[in-house]
Amino acid sequence: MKITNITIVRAIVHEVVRASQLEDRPPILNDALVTLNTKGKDLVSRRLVETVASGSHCVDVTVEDSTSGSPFDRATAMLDCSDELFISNSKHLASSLSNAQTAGPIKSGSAVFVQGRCFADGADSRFIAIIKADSDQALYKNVTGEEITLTYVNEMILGESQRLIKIAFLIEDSDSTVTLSDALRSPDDFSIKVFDHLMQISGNGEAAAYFYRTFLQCRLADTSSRQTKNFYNVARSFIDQMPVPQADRVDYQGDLISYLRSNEEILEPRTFARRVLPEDQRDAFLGVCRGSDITEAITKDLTLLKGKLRRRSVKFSSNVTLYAPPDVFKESVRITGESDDGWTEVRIRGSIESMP
Amino acid sequence: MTESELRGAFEERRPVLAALGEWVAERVTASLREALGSDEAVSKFLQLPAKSRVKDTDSFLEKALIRKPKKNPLEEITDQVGVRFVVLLLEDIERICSIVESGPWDAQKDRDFQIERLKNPDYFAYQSDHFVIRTRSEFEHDGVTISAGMPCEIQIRTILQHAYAEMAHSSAYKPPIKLSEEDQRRVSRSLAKGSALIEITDDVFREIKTKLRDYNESIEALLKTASEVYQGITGEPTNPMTALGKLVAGTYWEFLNNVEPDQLRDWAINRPELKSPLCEKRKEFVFYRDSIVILLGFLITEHESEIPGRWPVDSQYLEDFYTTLGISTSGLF
Repeated sequence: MKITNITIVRAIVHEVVRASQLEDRPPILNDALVTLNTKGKDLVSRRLVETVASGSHCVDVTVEDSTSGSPFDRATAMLDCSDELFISNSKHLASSLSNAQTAGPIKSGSAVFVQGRCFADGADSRFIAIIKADSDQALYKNVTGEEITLTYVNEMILGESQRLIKIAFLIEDSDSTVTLSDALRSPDDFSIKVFDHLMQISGNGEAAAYFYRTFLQCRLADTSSRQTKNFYNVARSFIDQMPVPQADRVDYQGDLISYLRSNEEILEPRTFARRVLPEDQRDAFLGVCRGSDITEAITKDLTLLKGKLRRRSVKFSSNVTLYAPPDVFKESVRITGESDDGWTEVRIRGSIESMP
Repeated sequence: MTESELRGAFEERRPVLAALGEWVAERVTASLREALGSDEAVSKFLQLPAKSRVKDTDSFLEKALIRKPKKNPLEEITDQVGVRFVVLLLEDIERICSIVESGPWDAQKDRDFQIERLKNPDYFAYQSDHFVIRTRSEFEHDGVTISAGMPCEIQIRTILQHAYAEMAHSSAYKPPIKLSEEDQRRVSRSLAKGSALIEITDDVFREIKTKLRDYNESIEALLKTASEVYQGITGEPTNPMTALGKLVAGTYWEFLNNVEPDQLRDWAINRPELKSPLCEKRKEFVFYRDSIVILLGFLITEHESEIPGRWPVDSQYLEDFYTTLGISTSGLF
C-alpha cells in the first residue's frame, strides 16, 4: 500500500515491560498526550512509511476478535473518542501488550500510540498506529566551543534500526461510514498491516506471533497462499524473459525456488531482487511486481506451490527431461552451455548408480 | 599598360582596396552580431578576428603579367583585396556563407578558386568556400571613395582548415625546384592524407556537437516540463535550470534517455497527494523549492533501488523524499 502525507493528530506513549516483570512493578503509564515538534512528527512519519509503505516488510493480518473490549475495538475507538478515552484506551492496550510479552527475545520498551491521517493509495484516510519501540543505546555528541563530548544515552527510541520496532497500522477505508462514535467498528472497514522484523528471520514464527496474535488478536491474512503463488508466477515469468543465457536462467530459477523454500516467514520483492537478480534487472522486476499488485511483503504460504517446489525439472527440445529435488539440482547439476550444433552440455555430479 | 603603369595604378588604388576590405569585414561582422546577439558572442564565434589584406604589389603584378595574364587585370583579378573569416565548425561556415550571399553587394563563388581546387585536390580537398563580391554602386567609406564593381575576395574556413592551409601553403612545404615524379607523388599523397584528416576531424567535431546539442535539448525539455508541472502543483514558478537540477539530471541521464515530457506530466497527474507536502516543505527546505523534485520523483518511482547508490549529494534529502513519496527506504540506503 502506498502511504503518503502522514499527519499526526495526537499521540501518547506508555512503558511496556516483559510479562514476568509485571509482578516487580507496574509499568509507567502516561496520563497526558505527548507533544511532538515538526521534526519529531517527521521522524515518526518516516518510521511509519519505512515499515508500512510500498517496498516494506509489513504483512496483512485479519482480525479474529472484534468484540467489545477487544484490542481491535479499543484501538479503532481511539479514532473518534475524546482525549480522556484516547488516553485510557491506550493505557489498556499498553497493559495488554506487557501481558503478551511472555516468550522470546522481548525487551522492555515503549508503546507509542499515534492517531493521524494519511493518503493510503491516494485516498485520504484515518489511521491508528501502535508502535512497540524498544529502547536503544547510543552516544550523544555535544559540541561545546572547540570540545566534543560523547554522552551515553540508553533510552533512545525510534532510531534507524528496524530490529527495535513492531508496528500495527490500522487504516480506516476512506469510504466507510461511522454511525455512532461509540459503536463497534467492523473489521471490514479497516486494512490492518503488521510490521515485525522477527517475521523476516527464519525459524521465528512463534516469537513473532505474540505481537499480532496474542496482543492484537489477529491472524495472518487468508490470502497468503494465493499471493505466494502469484509471487512465484511473476518472478518465474520475469526470469524467463530476462536477457541472459539459458544456462544462467536455469540458475536464477533455482535461486527463486531456494528463496521460496528458505525458512523465512515472508516473501518480499526487494529482498528477492537484491539476493537473486543482477543489479540492472532489479528495478525492472520491482516494476513488474507493482504491475501485479505486489508492493509489500507477503506472508509465505506454499500450499499451492507444493508440487512445483518438490522437484525441479529441465525439459530439452529433444523431449529429454531431467528431474531432481531442488536442493540436489542446485548442488549437483550444471548446465554448462548450449552449442550451435543443437547439443547442450550438462554436468551431473555422481556416477551412474542404476538404470531401471 | 606597361608594367610600371600597372604598378602605379595598383599602388594608387591600394587605399581604396584597403577601405573596401575593411568595409566588407565590418558589414559581415555587424550581421553576425545581429544574428548572435552580442560582440562577445561574435568574438567567440570567430576564432581569429576578421582580417582584410591587400595583395602584395609584386604578387599582383606577377599574377597579372606572368602567371595568369589578363587584358584588364585591374578589373579581372578578383583577389586584389581579401577578407578571411576563421570559425570553429563546418556548420559555422554555412552561417557566414549565407550572410555573405545576402550582403549589400553582388556575391558569387570564386570560380578561380573552384577551378584551382579541381586541379590541385591535394591542397584544397577540404570543404571550403571562397566568394568574390563586387560593390553595386559608388560609395564612401572612412573618407575613401569606392567605385562600383570593385572586387573583394572572402575566404571562410574552420580553424582546422586554416591551420592546414597555412601549413600546406607555407614556403616550408613548397619545394624550391620541381620534384621528381616519385617524390611529387609521395608529397601529394601525404598532403591528401593531411587534408583527409582535417576533414575527418571537422566531421568528428560536428558529430560531437550534434550529440551534445541533442543531449542538452532533451535534458532542457525535461527540466522545463518538471518546472511547469511543479508550478501546476504548487502555484510557484521555479528556475528549471538550477545547478542541482542539472546535477541530478546528469547523474541519472541513463534513465532519462528515453523519457518523454508527457510521461512526467502523467506521473504528476496520478499523484494529487504530492501537493500538500510540496507546498509545506518548500517553505522550510530549499531542496523542495527546486522543480527537479518532480523529475526525481518520477525516477524514484521507476528505479527505486538504483537511485540511492548514485545519488550525488547528502542522502538525507533523498531519504526524506522517499518518505514523502510513500516508498520505504528499508534496505535501500
